[in-house]
Amino acid sequence: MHPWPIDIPFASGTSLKLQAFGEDLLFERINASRLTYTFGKPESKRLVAVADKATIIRFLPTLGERALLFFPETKFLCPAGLELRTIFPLPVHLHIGVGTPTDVRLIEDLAPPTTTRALYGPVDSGIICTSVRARTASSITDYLNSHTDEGTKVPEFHFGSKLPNDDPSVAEPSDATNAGTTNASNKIRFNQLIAYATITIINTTNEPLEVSKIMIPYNALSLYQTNSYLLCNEIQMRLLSRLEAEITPGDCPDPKAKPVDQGQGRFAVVDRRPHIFAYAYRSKTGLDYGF
Amino acid sequence: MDFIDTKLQAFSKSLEGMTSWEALSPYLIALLTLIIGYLIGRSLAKAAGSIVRQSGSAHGALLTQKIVLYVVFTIAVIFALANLGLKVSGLLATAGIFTVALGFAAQTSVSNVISGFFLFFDRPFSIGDTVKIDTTLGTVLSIDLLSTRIRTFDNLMVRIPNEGLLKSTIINYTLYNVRRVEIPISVAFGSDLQHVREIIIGIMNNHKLILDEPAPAVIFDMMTDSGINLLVRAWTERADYITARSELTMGIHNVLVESGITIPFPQRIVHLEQTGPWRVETYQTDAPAEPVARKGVHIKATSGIQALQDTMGKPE
Repeated sequence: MHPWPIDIPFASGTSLKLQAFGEDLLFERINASRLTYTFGKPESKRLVAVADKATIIRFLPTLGERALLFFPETKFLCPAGLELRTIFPLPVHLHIGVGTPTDVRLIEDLAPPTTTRALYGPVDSGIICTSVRARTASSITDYLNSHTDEGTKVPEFHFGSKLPNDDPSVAEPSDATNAGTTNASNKIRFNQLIAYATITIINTTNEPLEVSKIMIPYNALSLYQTNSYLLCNEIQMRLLSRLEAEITPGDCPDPKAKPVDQGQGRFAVVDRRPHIFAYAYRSKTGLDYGF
Repeated sequence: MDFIDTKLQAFSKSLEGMTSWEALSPYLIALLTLIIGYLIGRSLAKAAGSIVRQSGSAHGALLTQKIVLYVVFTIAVIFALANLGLKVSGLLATAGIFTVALGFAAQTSVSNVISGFFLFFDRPFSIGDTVKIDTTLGTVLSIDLLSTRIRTFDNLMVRIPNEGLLKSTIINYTLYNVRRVEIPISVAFGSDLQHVREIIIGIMNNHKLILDEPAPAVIFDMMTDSGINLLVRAWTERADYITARSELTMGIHNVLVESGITIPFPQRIVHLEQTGPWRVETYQTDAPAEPVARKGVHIKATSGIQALQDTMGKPE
């Protein structure tokens, strides 16, 4: 896996054709200060102003700018006093910028097509979150082994040009259909657009409790990368009662994983303060559903 | 002639007296006081308005601006009148009587001003909100002391007196971030209701604008003359409401048609209690004739009811 962020040289007069989330992503540098950017249909073409000195297009994985509301496809049942550890996949946004290695300006933040939104809290005061519905597994290996169809669900992300300083050991064979400005082709695997988050649920009450949703505040997660995939820092969820839980961000479960550089040596700062959230708030607003 | 000369000299002297600095200066100072008072009032009003606007209330800022401007300008007027030699205390005393007279004359305006103050504290909406006041739907442009201005979505400006507004039913569409989309539909009797529910929920779960939480719902509402009524309910962000509703309606219609589920229309079945056979006469005609003419062929039923029987296939 190529380390993030990925910088692709983009000189004046050249073009770059990629594929992201099943759609064509085309960049054409018209001159030193202008480029056109097309994602998907040709009608979506946009003219973008860039600095004359801009030399690269940068791709970064991000978790978006909203809190996450995770709905496991299989609900968790945690007996009293016990803990349940599981991993779940988070779709990663693709942050696209243009500039120099030390000064990149954002063009677009491409959200994965599989994500939707959900409201956390009552309808009059809740907050809109990124909704994640996913199956869980006991480990990343188990998840990858049991979800062989994932590649067909979310398309792979292809780079048509040769990546700078790429590790040839992970490069895919040349793919003529995805050829860009050069003949060489590198394919960024699907799992690079998924980050695996580990969550530990601890039941501190005296009764078995069921968890059907987990709210993870914005800034509670940060991205790390290993040689194979993206990871998030661990989340600990302590069930305090039938209604409330406490979320505490922890460290990355893989000590060898490196934080993803957000560009210019900046790394996402995790807010490690515990956060109380009501995971059974729906019962308070039941009338809103029926009437 | 002497008389005219004397009069002209007197007039000339009085004219000199009127145009002298001593005579004009009080008027000029009063005028200057008014101008300076207005300018200071406007500046202070702007400053006060911007301070209030920082707290996020455009309505409060507008009201503060106007109050500060009127107060400062009123003080400037009082100073100007005092400079002209008018006794302000006497003026204020007569103002009481004047106010009573004015109150009768400007009853509606005063009522609107008071209503404007109530609106300010009640805050049912703010500038920029989308509201429906009785039958007027639009965006609030301004909330003044006397009236509130609404720009409707067909681009008309509607001025609503504050008094009337206070008595009206107000619906604010922009207060909350999410709205519920409700689409009433109907399916024919005999439809597989579980299947209907599943496909509609599937449409909503796969729609990007529909929120996963609160979860979409399909409620089987009632059985009517024509079919079974359903209420499809889903939540969406306020800004996406119209799009979500339109796309959802289209999506549900398409999926019902694709699945072969009949969407019924109002219909009435009439059972005719005629035991004997129907006698139908047909004959050729050149001109249209009563009661029914279609393609030159007339059909006449003789069972007590006149009816067109060309498609029903009743036995003769």
